[in-house]
Amino acid sequence: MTALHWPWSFLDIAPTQDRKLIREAYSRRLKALDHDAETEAYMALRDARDAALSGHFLCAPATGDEDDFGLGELSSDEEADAEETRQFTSEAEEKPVFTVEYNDEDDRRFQRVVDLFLQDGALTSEEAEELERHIDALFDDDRMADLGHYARVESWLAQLLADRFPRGAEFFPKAAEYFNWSERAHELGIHPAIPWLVNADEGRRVLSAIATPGHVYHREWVELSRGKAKGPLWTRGIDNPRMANLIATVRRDYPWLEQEHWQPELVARWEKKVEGGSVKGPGLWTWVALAIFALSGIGRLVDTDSSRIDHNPAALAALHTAKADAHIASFIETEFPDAQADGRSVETLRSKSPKTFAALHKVASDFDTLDEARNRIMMREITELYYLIIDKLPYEDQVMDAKLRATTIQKMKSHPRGCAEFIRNPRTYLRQGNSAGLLSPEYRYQIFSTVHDHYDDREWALVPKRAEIPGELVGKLVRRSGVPEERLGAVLRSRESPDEDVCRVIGSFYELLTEIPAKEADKILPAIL
Amino acid sequence: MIVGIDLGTTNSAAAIFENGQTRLIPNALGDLLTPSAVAILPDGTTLVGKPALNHWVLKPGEAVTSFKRFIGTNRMIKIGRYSFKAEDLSAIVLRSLKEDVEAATGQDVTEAVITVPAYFNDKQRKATRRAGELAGLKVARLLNEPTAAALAFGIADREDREPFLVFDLGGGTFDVSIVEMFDAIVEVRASSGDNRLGGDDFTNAIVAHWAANNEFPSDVRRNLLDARLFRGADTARRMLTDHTEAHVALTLSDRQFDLAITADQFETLVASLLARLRDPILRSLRDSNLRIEGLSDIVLVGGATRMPVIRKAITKMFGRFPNHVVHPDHAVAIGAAIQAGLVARHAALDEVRLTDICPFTLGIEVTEYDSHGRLRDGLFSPIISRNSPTPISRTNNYSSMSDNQAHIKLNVYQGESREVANNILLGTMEFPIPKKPAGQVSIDCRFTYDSSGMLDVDVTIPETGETRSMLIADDSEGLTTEQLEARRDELAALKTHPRDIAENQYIAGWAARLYEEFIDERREHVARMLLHFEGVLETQDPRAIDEARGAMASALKEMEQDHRL
Repeated sequence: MTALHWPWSFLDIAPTQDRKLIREAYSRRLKALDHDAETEAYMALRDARDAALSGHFLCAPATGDEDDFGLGELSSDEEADAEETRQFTSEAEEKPVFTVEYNDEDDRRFQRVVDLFLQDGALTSEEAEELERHIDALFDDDRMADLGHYARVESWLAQLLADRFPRGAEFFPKAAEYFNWSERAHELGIHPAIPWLVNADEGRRVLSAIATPGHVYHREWVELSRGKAKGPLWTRGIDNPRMANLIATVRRDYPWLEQEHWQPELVARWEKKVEGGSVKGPGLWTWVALAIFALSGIGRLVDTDSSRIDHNPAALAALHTAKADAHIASFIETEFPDAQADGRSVETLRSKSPKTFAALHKVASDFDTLDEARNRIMMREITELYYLIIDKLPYEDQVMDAKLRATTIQKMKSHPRGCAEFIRNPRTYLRQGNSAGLLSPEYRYQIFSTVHDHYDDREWALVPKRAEIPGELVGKLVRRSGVPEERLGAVLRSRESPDEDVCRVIGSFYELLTEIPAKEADKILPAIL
Repeated sequence: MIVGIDLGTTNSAAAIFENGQTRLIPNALGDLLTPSAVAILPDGTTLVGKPALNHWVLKPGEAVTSFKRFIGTNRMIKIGRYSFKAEDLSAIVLRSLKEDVEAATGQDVTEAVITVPAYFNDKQRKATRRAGELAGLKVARLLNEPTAAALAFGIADREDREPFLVFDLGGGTFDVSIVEMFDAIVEVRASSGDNRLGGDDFTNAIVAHWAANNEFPSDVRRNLLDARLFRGADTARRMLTDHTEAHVALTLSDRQFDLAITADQFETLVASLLARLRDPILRSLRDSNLRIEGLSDIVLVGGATRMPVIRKAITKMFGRFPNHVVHPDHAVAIGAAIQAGLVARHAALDEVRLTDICPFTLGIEVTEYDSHGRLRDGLFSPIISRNSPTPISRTNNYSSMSDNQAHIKLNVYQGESREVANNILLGTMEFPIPKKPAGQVSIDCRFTYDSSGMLDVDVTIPETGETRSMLIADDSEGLTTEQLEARRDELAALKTHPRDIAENQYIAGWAARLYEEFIDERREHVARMLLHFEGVLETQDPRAIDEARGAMASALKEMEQDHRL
């Protein structure tokens, strides 16, 4: 942890907004060191002071339950307590703090801004004007004078949002869209409120996706959040690499999801199992006990205690096999009419790509009826697998993919935001099912047949590594696409707000990809996939 | 002992910290300021200060002034049959100041805090440091001039102060710093400046004006004319401090010229120079996130700030009158002496701390592909951004550009422009890297900028663990100790007079200069006095010489003043 994260320990004082206290602490610490010689210590101290004075330290978001983010004010005692706790648990997440106070007048305006944002449908021109006026009034204030540039002023509004609305509130997406925050997060990141809000919103969306049965990580999620810690892990029928990936991803990106939803005890056990490799299977004594149970027939009694899914996946799977097979067969038949002719069926899937089959099987078990939702979720499952392996496939497959993407993007031109999201992260975009009508049947079939043919028993890396685009090659490609230079740069850096240009650029990018020599294209593909 | 030295473009001064306070040290002539001028006579005799300045007006080829403008460059400055770099000439001035301090205190002076304009670049700083070493001084610290002035201003009463602005317009450089004081910590928040703007430019504006409006005789040697005109213009500029009009009589080839300038004319002449003051001020305010109203004081430093046009401009710009608490000519030397006291850990300064910043951005040249895939080279990648507190150490990571690239050439630049062509090249280093596909070899480039404003560059190749430090290709850099010794001996071989003889020399030189400037009976009068004085010198009677010198000095002074009006 650096002074920018938690300045108070460097200054050796309790968190405060009193400038004099902060400066005195700085003075004390400075005089205790030889700042000309102890460069690192001095740099850290300066950072700490500046962070403390500005309130712009990069503290992580708050931990507690959502009630804390409501309108309720902490009493001064509670505040003192809270501060004490913060000091002892400096690793803990911290709600962003900002130095500007807001008053009743701001409150009123702010509420009106919120109302305008939250109302259904598009704003009329008068309403848009009113919104602008309120926002301008909020920004155009003496208290902002020392804040300097616009970005900070904007982050002040973000601070209001963070204060008044629980994590992931409905309000956020609209405000974020209005101010274009997610695209500019890097520039506004100076104040923690915006990254905090962006992260909260992303996490909320991840949560809603993952909590839907059929999501590829749904099982693992449920396992960690169901709240039943009993029983040995090895009987749960959980995919270990997937579990490891889930834990790592959530830890890295949305640590608060873990705190809010998971059972610490279970997480700890799973972590040990998937990482340490020590708890791989039952110990000798368990085997002995099991043997005894099996022999004596007492084993059945144990099942009554907990759900059958947990305790005997094999038996459960056997129960469902027939039905699941039928689901998969029906899925292939309705979605991919050409499959039969190409010799791809549920049987060949089972033999050529047991992993895909197993994944679909798990999903299929959750469905009773043969409907569209099932097809969509199965498609999503396959797409997920597809994007795990696409950058490791033979060149021809990758070129085919690029072509299909190009046509997809052409189709999405009128829908810039979706198009941009597809370009930036096709995996997530498709996984969330946003694309139902967008992928051409050819593309879907390409996805299916690739997974069918290639997703065998090999070890596929779970998270594809992002490669840098070799500049020279990008240059060649881009020169031929003939799009204005400044737009192109912005598109390649993926920071510009999505619009038709973005789609056009990336579309022609993919087109070009299919024309250049295999060797060169090979280098670029991993980077843009 | 450690001495604080203000090594200025026009004037230099030395001060020490003793018994809990600062003391300015007078030179052999009893002046607190020593003009930064050096003359070397054909016989190798060296004159420093006022005598050199007099000599310059007589024989411009044998003396130089304002050479600080060329410090850090390889330009050779010719003096008679000798030729020197600016740092050598600075060393000669420093040595003279060192001797003054030794004479005044009776102690050996071994170390010095030398001030430099805040906006001096790395080359200029390194050259200044070498000048100190050539003069036999260990340079304990290079201190930014406005920072020194701020120290002098702030330490006076040690009260907490809201941010104040130091406006330092010297002979050749212009600096602005924004400084804050809290709990005896003097903290520089931002500095900016213009390396090529100073009082000399204002004088040159007058020279240009006169040259354009007069037909000067063509048989006068060019550099002599320049020197005489410059001197006259400088006199006129100073006169404009108290008068609305200045007249200077100049005798060239037995012709008398009455050169005049009025305050109004002057103001029009320097309008463009005054406009150049604005940018550094605005930039430093912006960088420290302040508005003009947020400044608690404007502190003026540097002789050139005496000019009424400057004061008027400042009053107009800031909407208030500047502070006159510090002596504009002495503040920097006094600040340097305080820093010397800090370095020596003087008990009286126990609680005082000074934190300075790096006033410009430092980085390296990089090549990038633009969005059309064209190579854009000559782009600047900043590593330490301006106004970062010093000392500071920052690392950036860069990677190779082409497949199988065998070398990386690192060009270190200082400046604010995105294109390195507009920035200042500080040095170059080239080193081999492992051959790999493009982008796969990375290097960590670490910039360390210390409290004296010296930059160290280290490069590490993580793959091989190899580390290299900057070897600047500039040939004057990285002198070995032996080379330094040799240069020092070379300079030491130049003869200087004992202190009292220097004084006599000065008086004689002054008289000779006046002789050239006057004609007719005044000239005769000077000639008679000079003859008499030379006669007394022959007797070698110290008391008689002292007396004659005193009488002569007051007579010359009187004549010169008459002449001016």
